[in-house]
Amino acid sequence: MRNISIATIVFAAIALAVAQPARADSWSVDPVHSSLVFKISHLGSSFTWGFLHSPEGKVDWDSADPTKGSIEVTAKLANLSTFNAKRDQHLRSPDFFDAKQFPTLTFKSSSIKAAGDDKFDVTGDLTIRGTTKPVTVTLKKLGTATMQGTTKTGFDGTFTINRLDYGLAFMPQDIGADVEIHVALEVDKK
Amino acid sequence: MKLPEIPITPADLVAGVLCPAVVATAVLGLARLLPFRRREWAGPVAMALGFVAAYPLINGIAPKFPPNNAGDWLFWLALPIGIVAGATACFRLHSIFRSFIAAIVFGATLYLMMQPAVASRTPAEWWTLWAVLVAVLTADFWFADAAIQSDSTITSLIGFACILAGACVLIQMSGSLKYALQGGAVVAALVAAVVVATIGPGRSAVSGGAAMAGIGIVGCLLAVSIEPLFVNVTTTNALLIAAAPILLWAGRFIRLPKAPLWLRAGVRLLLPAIPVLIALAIAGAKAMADLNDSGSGYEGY
Repeated sequence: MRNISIATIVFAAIALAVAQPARADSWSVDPVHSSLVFKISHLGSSFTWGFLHSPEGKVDWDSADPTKGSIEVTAKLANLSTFNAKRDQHLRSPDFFDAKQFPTLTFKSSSIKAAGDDKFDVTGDLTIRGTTKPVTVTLKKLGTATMQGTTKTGFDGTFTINRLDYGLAFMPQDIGADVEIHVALEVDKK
Repeated sequence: MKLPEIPITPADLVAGVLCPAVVATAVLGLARLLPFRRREWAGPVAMALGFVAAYPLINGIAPKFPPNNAGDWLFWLALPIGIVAGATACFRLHSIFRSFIAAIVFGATLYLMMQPAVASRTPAEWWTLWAVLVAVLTADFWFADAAIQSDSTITSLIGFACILAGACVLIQMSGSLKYALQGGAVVAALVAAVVVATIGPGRSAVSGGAAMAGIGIVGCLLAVSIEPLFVNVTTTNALLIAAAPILLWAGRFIRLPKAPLWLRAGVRLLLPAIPVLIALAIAGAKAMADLNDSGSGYEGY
């Protein structure tokens, strides 16, 4: 009787372990090696480039099934740079990002779909200037490396938004509506 | 040395000057046609509607409802401010009651416009800032209103419009062309209303409520543009602009009985112009220094 009970418990434990879904690993965005780079038309004659450096956030990534993962990124508009302090100040003013009223830009994924060749269509809510709109970013998962005991990996992709959708509608004659945003994330395994 | 430019396009002039001026002219014209005995409502309502009409044109998009930023709050509050200012003028209340109503109007407007700053300030800081701003705007209202009411000419109204215009230029120099154009729309509506009132329904159609509507909209815009809030207007420059209505009022005590009208008007306009010009000179010097700073050269577009 006792042998049967032990066998039952051992069997149940093995069955539970097998049935347990693989857990997503938690990663945190490394602000030092991550940035958002944007490009926008100026007067229809050239492109102006800018950086939102040092984004923060977390990534839950299940290597066995990446569709169960999630990505959250927050970038402070205080970290905006177009390599011209006066223009940066103007971009942070109520004319554009209104950074004192809306100090951050955030992205929160709602679904991740495999798109082949280590690429994933990450759909989520992008919030800029208090306006939230769904966007889909195709991210490519890059390689993995270990540095001083920390496992690192990265994601890279580009997407385009219409700035008017987010209330950034000032100076429509001078500045283009489409903003191309390049996402470069390095994440550290927790 | 390079001088700073104001990057205003013809489209900005249509949105921020022509449109509100046309709206104000229409409102004043309507006031003349309507069979109402009192027309004091017309001026402040014209200023408010001028702002409301210009706002989406200046911004390039319609304001949000419910609003989530200071500008959109002001858009939705502008017409109520104009109506309260107009009603207060029509009832010809004592100046103490007018000031009390003005304090409530400015307090409620700033309370809502300052909501986005709640997260970045402690409650004590936020409420202190709110109380100081409401007190300054209410004091400014009292002086501006007293100056306009006691003047049988349109000199004080023009002086008041110049102070509001100075506030708008200061906001532009301090970092926000959009807020400046929005305030400028109120100034354009006020000037158009004064001109039309002078040849039409009479000066009182504007003088009764201009101070409450002007300070309620442009004053609140300047208040939320100070450095602790949403733009980079320095406290010193904001206080210099706030001092101008006191000098507009003080101009009445300069008696020049034998002087021609133009000289008396000039003196009344010169006094409030002094702090406004000092504020603009300080902001202009900083803008010029920034422009000529190595590696800058950015002119706002």
